[in-house]
Amino acid sequence: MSETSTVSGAEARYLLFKVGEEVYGTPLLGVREVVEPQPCKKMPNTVNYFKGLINIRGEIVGVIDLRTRFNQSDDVEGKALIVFDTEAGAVGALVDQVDSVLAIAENVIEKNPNVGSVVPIEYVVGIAKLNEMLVSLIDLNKTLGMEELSQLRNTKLNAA
Amino acid sequence: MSDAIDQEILGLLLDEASEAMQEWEQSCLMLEKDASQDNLDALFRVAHNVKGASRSVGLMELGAFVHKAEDLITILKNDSSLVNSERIGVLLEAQSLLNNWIETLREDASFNPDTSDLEAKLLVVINEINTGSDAGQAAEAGLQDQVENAVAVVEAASSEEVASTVEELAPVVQMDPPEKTEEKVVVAVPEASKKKEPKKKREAASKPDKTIRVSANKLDELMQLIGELSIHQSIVSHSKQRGELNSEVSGNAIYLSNKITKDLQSLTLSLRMQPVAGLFQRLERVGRDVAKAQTKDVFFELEGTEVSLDKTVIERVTDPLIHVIRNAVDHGIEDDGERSEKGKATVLIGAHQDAGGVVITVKDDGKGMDPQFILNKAVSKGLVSADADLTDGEIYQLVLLPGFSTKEVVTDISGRGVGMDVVKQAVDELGGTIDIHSELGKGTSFRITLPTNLSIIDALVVKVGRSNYAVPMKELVEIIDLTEHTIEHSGKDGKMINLRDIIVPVEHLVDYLPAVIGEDAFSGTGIEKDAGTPALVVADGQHQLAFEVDNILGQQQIVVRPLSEQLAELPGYAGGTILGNGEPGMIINLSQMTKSYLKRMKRKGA
Repeated sequence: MSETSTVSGAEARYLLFKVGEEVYGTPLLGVREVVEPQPCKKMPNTVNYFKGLINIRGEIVGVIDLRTRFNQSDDVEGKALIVFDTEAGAVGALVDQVDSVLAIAENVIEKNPNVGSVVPIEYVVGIAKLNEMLVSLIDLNKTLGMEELSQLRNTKLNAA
Repeated sequence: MSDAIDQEILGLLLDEASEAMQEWEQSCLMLEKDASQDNLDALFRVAHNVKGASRSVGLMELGAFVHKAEDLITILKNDSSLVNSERIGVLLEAQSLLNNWIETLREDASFNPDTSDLEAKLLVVINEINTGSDAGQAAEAGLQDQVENAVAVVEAASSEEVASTVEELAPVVQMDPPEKTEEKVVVAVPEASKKKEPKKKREAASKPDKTIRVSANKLDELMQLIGELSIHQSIVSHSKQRGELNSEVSGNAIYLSNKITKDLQSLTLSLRMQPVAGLFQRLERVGRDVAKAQTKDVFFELEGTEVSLDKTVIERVTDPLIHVIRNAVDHGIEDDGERSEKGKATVLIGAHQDAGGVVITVKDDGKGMDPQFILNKAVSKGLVSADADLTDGEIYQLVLLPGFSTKEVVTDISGRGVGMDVVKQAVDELGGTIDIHSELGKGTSFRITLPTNLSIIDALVVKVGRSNYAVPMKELVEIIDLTEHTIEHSGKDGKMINLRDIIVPVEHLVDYLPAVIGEDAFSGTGIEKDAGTPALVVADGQHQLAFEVDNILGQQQIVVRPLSEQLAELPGYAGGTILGNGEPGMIINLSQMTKSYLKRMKRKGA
């Protein structure tokens, strides 16, 4: 639930992770688990940042490559797979590195930032200023649920 | 936070109330057959519980309405000789309203329907009973109700609405001895006007979870199996630590855990199974209402109510079956005049389990269907050619075609030429079949065979490009080897084959599911082709279409897994599963592909 990001008023915990050289944070409560990346089963007719399907203990989970999504090169294999519980079901996100869990106080977060970032603006919920370092806080829990994954160009399925 | 708790309690209450409504309906239906004290007591108990429960969570209007119905029930309970069909009818109407009310509350917690019509009806019935016996006391009781009624309605309205509500109330008020009532209403109005704020709307937050009733025995069994499983699992892990995986002990444990897993699977599936009793009761109610509306005297016989079906199957088959029941009563059973010499009509609603699944039978002893009449009609509507040589069984199937209706006079109940084809479509989607038998003058029976559950299906695993996909067997008409047929070309890239004198277009599935660049390595290397080129033949109505695939890997029972929303919306797929080698796989929706092919052809033609 989205209200979890403001639990206890003053501060909330975030999972920090890296995509390329950039550090991002996401509300920890939206994260179900972090697992070793495993080979994804590719799916035809999907957008390029959709890596495919994996089997997590019998559950089929779609994986999104955040490096492709955030316009980073993905020639290195992702080193961690974060599994999110979204309202639409479980979604996996491939990132380069999971960094740490950090409590971030509400008052160092700037809401509605106007930044020219590589990250699609609808992902960013705020920027946290931490000791000279800026961390983009993104709520994947919200946005991943709304991604349009299908891409039907050049296939016969695209009849209409 | 308290809102969340409210939601939870409300959800629980609504579940209980829905069940109570079923009991209410059941008691009423039983009372029509037999006005026993037991049935009356049961009805009273249900009403009383709903009233108490709804008031406890602040659904005052709901409680107030139930209270009014309870007044009538109390009177009947105290003297069962007063039970008659009309009075039960009013109680059933109240049940319909309450049921709808409760279901709507799930979506919108502030929903309050207009109950004034039914309240008036209840009053009329109560007054009628009372004027018969001790009039004085009755008027008092009725009056009391009337006032409560007025106060409740006025309270419910926000201040702007008060004026109009009073106007609406006026006719209701006049029905009773006037003086006292008017006086009290006048008192009630200003009181309500003071309430400046409209009632605080309870936010319809996230929908309450769907719940399902499970027998405690099954849960115990489940716990026990899981306990056993963990014991064997720990034996295996121990053996692994000591490097004794090949020992007899761990071999046994592995064997037993396999067995337990299978037990667990079937037990877990059975948790979703529900008896058809609730469904049948609904059908009986619908049938009764139709019969009453047409003043036909019909007895409904229920059989095999203990037979179980998957919850989803029950949900999806309810509306089609309602249609079949309506048809049976409306078309099947003769009008009273025609019927007289045959006596009371009977409609049987039955269920039994057989090898192919559960068979639901709806059988009436009405006039039956005339095959010649149906055939003529179908020919005149152009649904079948005049020289077609059909068996009676095949002719009855014609009524399932779109645009077929046999009743000459269209009623508001059935006969608009829509319906039976929808029934067929719904049953087809569930993987079921419909058989129709009829004998002129003796009646008609519909036998609908349904799969007991939906989550395990037979599938063919095929290779397309370099990926494996599952195709539900029930979508396939046949599997052919293209090398055994002459392939004719039409146009630029159209391929056709002649399959037993029918021209069937051939499409390659890879055009619909293109291989992805950088396709994963672990689904095998390259395409090891067997001799021949397999193709899957599917049918969409009249049209047949063959889908060429690269290889057929085998047949497998697959468990359909739920997918997250975005995945479920991907076109071309019917769902996900875990294939035999443990990798995830998608289930192909061939009928969707066929439809997109036909659409493309149509556009080309136009």
